[in-house]
Amino acid sequence: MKRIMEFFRRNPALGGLIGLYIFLGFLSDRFLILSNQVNILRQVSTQAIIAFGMTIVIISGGIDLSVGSVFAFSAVVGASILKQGEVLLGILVAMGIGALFGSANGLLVAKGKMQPFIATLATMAIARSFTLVYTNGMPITGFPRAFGYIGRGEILGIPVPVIIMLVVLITMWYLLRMTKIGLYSYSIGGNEEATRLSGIRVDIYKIIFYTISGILSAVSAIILMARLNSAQPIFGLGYELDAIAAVVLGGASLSGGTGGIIGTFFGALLMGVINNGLNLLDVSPFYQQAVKGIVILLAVLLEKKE
Amino acid sequence: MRVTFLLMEGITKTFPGVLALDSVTFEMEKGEVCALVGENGAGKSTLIKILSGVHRPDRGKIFLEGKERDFRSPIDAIRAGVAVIYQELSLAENLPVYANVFLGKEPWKFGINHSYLEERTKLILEELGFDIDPKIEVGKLNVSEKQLVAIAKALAYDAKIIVMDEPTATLTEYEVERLFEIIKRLKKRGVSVVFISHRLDEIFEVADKVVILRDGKKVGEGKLEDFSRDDIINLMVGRKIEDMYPKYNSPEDDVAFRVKNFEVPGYVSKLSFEVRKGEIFGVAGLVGCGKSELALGLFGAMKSRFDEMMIFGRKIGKLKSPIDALRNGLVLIPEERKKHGLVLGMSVVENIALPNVDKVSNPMYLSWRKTTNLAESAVRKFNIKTPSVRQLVKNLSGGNQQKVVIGKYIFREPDVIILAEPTRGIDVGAKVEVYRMMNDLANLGKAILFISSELPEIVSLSDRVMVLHRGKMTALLHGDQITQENILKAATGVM
Ligand SMILES: Nc1ncnc2c1ncn2[C@@H]1O[C@H](COP(=O)(O)OP(=O)(O)OP(=O)(O)O)[C@@H](O)[C@H]1O
Ligand SMILES: [Mg+2]
Repeated sequence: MKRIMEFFRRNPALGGLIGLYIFLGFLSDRFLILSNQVNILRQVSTQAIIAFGMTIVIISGGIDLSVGSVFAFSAVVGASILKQGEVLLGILVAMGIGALFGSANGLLVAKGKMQPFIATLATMAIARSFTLVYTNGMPITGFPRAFGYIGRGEILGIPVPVIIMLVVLITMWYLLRMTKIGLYSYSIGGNEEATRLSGIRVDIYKIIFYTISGILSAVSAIILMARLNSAQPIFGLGYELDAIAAVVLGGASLSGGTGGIIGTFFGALLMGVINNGLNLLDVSPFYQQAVKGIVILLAVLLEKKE
Repeated sequence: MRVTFLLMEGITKTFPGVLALDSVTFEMEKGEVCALVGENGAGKSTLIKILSGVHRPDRGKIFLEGKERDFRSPIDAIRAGVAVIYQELSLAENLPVYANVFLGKEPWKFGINHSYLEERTKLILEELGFDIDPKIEVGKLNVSEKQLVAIAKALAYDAKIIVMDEPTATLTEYEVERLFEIIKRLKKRGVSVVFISHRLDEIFEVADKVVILRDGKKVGEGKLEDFSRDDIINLMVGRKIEDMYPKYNSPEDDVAFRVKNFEVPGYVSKLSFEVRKGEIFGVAGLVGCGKSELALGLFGAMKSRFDEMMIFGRKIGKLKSPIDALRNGLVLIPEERKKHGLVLGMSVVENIALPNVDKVSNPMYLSWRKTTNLAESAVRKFNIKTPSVRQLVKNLSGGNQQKVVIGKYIFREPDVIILAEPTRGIDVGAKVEVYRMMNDLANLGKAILFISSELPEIVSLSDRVMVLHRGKMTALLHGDQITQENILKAATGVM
């Protein structure tokens, strides 16, 4: 029993999820059916991918507020190329933009010695502004058919976005658990100075972490664009908060050194299930944020309590 | 009926995989100074953490002045008059002394009356004979002064029992004397003091009684008069230690390490010295003499300037970060283990992996099997007490943490090894192990820089001793010149 309690304390999101599944399973006969479950996964995939990038940044003791704006900017620039029929180039450019902003964040934090909160707050504003200037505030629509497959296609009944999310999940899990990059993200978050004195190039690794976060924002943006067949300048508003929430629900601490990809996945899933459940139960969307907020508070309280 | 002032009865405490205390009974009278001794991991800190409400015992009771107490949190213990001065001081560095002394105890009416708190703090400090400005920021004080502030803070809370967990580990000889004066004064005021230390001399100097723990059990207790040094050591380690300071290295003639005009701006000025292969080169000096900064500077962790640096014939051009030092075969076993040596929230195996990643990993794959083997061999070699290498370092006892720091750097097979206060906080048995390791490394032809504030070990182990005073070399002693007296003279700038 003690073991079980301890497990849920470490994985607050999983506890919440199980609770919600039981609750919603009783309240709505549509909730547990397969198509709805697949639907939840598809909706969650874009959020989760961003949150995976956020995870490595938060574990290393940082934070990336720019993910939502980078999401939007990489989308609109990629979209302008996609519109001309260049699918591969469009995707690469979008990811390039993500990488560029990510590494800029990393440089500001690692070399410029700026606090991550401030540095990424600034790039968040800059990227959003670039997005508006680039699009003149107008959406970009009409992409090649083939591109739409990324957002709407299916393989063996599994939506392509879900497959991409799973690939990113496994890759990031491997990176965090089975490579030195992962080890360093935990050690930098735990004690940056001791890591430096162990002969590790802390600066370079920080840049890598933020770059990963930027690239994954772009990957997520590509999926959403493909699904909606358009890129909007208001894309990604508030995504940074959802991503941070997912990471924290997944058991990470904002002071760094703890957290994990699987936890984050459950965190993102929890938020997705809340959205889905509230929809099924016909609750006004106005309540959604409040419910999310309460769940976050409960989860973190549970985690804190020893 | 007379009641025991403090009685902790049948205290048992387990952590996952560890029986830290096994029905230990601990008692103490008012105004008594009781020394608590034992090897690393014996359970000393755990016992006082139970007394101070940090941990709750699995079994056992605490009676203070005859009343049973149940300390559910440190606040309960503080209210009851138990104050602890921890191995690591916990003060708010950014606040002035008086605010720290009265932290959490500010008289609340109409906001905080700063000048009143200042006055009260000044009184407490004066009464104890401390000369510290109550308005100065705590961050600006040195370790010894911070400790005095912590003591003043305890008194502001009307502490009846003050527990000091290895208070002297970071103090100079003079500061230790001063601390003992203060302990005697506390005694006169009727305050009971629990004193934990790995230095037996100190215990004989200051304590009335001694309690000896081994592997979580009480193995001895009594008035100090009834014990000899060797009795205590034997009880602590459960065997005899023949030679406290083994020395069997033989320096060669070749120079292994040389610096010319090495400077750490603001701390160390123009030092030139060489260390031979197989030599243990001692560096001594008072706190603040620059020896800590010299260590960090040589390792590239602090900015330095130099005309020449040479390791085994290789010239070192730039020294911008520890990476440059490590690449050239120079390691530092840092003195502040929690700040510089360890990631406390990570496991033993992860900490040991950090500087050795190249051995166990390529860019795409980190072999946990190899890392675990490495860590397990360190655990065996240094006799690190831990249920498994997966244990978080923060759950190890202080001395075992120190062993992890030594372990993690030794696998780099360095040519030049700087050990900064390597025996701080470790028990007699482990000290002897560290000394042996230094000899063994020297006999492999390595150059050892041995920085320490403990004169007996410097004197006994070093082939030569460089003494620093205000960042300058005031003596370079060898052979018969190496005596405590000579070192002290040079360290105070008399020579
Ligand atoms: N929070 C914890 N979780 C798990 N194990 C712990 C925890 N705290 C202490 N231990 C274990 O309990 C034992 C006793 O530790 P303790 O810190 O009391 O030793 P100590 O006598 O103070 O040693 P030292 O001289 O090294 O400071 C050790 O084996 C230690 O690893
Ligand atoms: Mg201890």
